[in-house]
Amino acid sequence: MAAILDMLKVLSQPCEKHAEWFSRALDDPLPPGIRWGLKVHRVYCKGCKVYERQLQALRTAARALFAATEVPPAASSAAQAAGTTATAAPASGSRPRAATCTCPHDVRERITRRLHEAA
Amino acid sequence: MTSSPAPHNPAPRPSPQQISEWITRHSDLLWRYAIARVRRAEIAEEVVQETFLAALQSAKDPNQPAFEARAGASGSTWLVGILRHKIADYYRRRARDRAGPGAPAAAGSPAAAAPLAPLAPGDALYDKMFTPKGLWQKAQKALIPDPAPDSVASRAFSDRDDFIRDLEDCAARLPEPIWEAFVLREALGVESDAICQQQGITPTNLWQRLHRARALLRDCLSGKGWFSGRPRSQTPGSSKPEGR
Repeated sequence: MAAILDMLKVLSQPCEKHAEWFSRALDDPLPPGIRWGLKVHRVYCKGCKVYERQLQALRTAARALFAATEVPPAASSAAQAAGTTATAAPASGSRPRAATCTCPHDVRERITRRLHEAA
Repeated sequence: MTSSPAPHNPAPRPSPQQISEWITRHSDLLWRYAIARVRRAEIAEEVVQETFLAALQSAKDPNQPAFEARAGASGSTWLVGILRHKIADYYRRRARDRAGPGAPAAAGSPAAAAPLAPLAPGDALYDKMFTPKGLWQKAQKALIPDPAPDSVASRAFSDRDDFIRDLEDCAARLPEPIWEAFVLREALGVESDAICQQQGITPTNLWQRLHRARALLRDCLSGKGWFSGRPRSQTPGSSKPEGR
């Protein structure tokens, strides 16, 4: 009964509430009634159907973005696909990509000095 | 007569050269892992240094694997594991510093992080997405989610290096509290209740931050020509749609 009430509540809400729920669904399971309501709503609302798929694309791409920074340089297919090397300078005005940047020389020197002191 | 236990032999100390080679071998990977998650170079240096120091301390422990066993290429997984914790600690410290001296702020308490206002009429992002009645703006309904799986024109956005590059640029512009929620959730995989506890915010506040992060990213990517439905160049490295 509570689930049906939830579903009716969802169906009576405007799309801006649905957008919130689509985002929330990426992080925590939604109650069944809300899930059903969103499913029904998506059938006839193109804006919401599109938004949900855009959020899924963002989630997949964000995971790929961070995963590319977890592999050693030789295994980074992102670096190879982009045709960049670890020492290539970024194009003028663009941010260096985390997946292909290298530890700055002065940073490495400071860390090395600190570890020699600690060893 | 019982024999006394053999004394622990201290682990052999790595030489300065071994340490230098170890840092040279792993610093690039640790740096890029850190910079993607903390954004600021000085913080990345701090957490990477802490990681190497913690690893060196661990290698001195005779009960732990010797330095040589972990200094090779396979040791990177171990170091990344330590770095992950150092980054999580960094965000915990930031939340504590925001709450002020004393115990971490309880969620919802006045000392906790200021709650973010929900997206509502009057907010620039809201007005771009929705009408005052909360329905999608016409321009938003014209956007496309992604090329269809069987489309010959293009593969899924999330597979494309240029989409990911633009996503990275857009994420770099997120305001700080929104960025923190985004990176804790998406990059470090911290569960919602743990983020709430750590940051001293309510679940509703967390959902608002993540909702805003995703809406901002989508808006930024739309501004770069994604989701427009217009043909884009298939050449890797192209981040502008054709005709713009």
